Amino acid sequence: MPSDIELIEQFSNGDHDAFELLIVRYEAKIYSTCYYFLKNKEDAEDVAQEVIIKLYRKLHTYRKEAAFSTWLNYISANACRDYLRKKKRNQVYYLDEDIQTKDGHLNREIASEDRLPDEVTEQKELQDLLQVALFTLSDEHRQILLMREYQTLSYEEIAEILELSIGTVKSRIYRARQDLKAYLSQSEHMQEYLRQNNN
Amino acid sequence: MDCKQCIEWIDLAIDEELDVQEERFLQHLSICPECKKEYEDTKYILQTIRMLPDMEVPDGLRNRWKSAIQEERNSRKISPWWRKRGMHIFMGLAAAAILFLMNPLAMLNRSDDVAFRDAPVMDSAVMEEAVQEPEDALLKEGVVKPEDDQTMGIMAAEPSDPLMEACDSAFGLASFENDIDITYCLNVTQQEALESFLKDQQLAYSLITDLDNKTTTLSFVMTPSQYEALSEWLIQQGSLLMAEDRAMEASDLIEVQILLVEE
Repeated sequence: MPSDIELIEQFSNGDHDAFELLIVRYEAKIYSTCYYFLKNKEDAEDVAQEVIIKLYRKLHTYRKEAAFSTWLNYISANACRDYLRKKKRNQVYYLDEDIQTKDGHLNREIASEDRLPDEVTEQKELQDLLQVALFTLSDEHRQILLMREYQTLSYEEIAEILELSIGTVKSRIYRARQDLKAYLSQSEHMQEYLRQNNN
Repeated sequence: MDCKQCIEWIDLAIDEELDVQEERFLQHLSICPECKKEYEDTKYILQTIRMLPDMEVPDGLRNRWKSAIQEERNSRKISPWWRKRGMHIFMGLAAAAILFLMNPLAMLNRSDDVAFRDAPVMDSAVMEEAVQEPEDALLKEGVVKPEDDQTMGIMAAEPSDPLMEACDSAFGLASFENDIDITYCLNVTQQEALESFLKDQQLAYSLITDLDNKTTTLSFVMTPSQYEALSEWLIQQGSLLMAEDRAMEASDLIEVQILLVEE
């Protein structure tokens, strides 16, 4: 199987199938990232498509010093940030955003599509719980936590994307983590997972 | 060290940002079960975020992006590696031609517009040809050499390598604003001239300087007719066209950013 770099080189030599192969490899990651950022599947689909078109247009600017996945994270985060900014300006609200209860009930959309009761593992439940917790945070805190923890972007990269100083990025990450922990501290399920982890 | 200090350092420790304090931090954890639990819990929660699963890709997304990419390919008919100065002229012609074809009256009504008042009168058939078959049209005019078809040819001198490199680097680091339709790159020494030109055109612009990357970005919105004038001015200044991100006919207003770089 060709590596990402090999596919990018093939694309730069005019092989468009190589670009499609590269995207097929990453489309689930791109879509998931957009969904976690935007909390809405339709928006995630639209922005995922935007990200892919951006990649097509800007792949020639990719520098191979960093892994392609890192660069992809950077572009996805940028696109989601732009979308959230626009949404904030236009005040678009979606019904499926009002989903949370205090102890981690998933929204119906996620529950019906992503959970198969007979096959649910502890790991999956834990991930669902975290997803709900993330969705309770403000857009500002959710996106910075996703950039840092899910996309593993550096402070510098986050500062550049959000156009903030490094100090502001650090303090915002700190506050976002505190918010997340405060929410999870109310979840009996979460406390049980943490007890298991500590034993 | 007290627990309050330790709790404050947990985030730094997780991000491996503790320096000389690390020893004291670890020492405290070894004797304080509460702080140790807080540290382990935080680490566990954050690690779980890292392991959030990939979602199932919705039916139809793959077809959507494949169609979108196909449209991109069709609209370009050239390599995405188009950074030559010659593209300015093609873009300028295409923008004017499309505007005219879409609404000839709109252009006639702009007779008081500086950009169009001074623009050469073009036969609509020639403009149409320029839009539909840009490469052929330019070839007929002897502007593009056949062997240059990969990059639409060179109408001005080849850009100097330092500028090209600086622009490429800045472009790679530039913020990817969704709304930007066109990105140019220019030497920073021409910033004053550019700002003066934009003021003459009565264009409001934003100016963002990135000290780390030694890049200044000018962003503004303009009409197609203003774009025509800008395009011509930029050719004269020897700028590079880095990317055109949206088909011109889709927009009444064009959002432009210009990266100013040090060679």
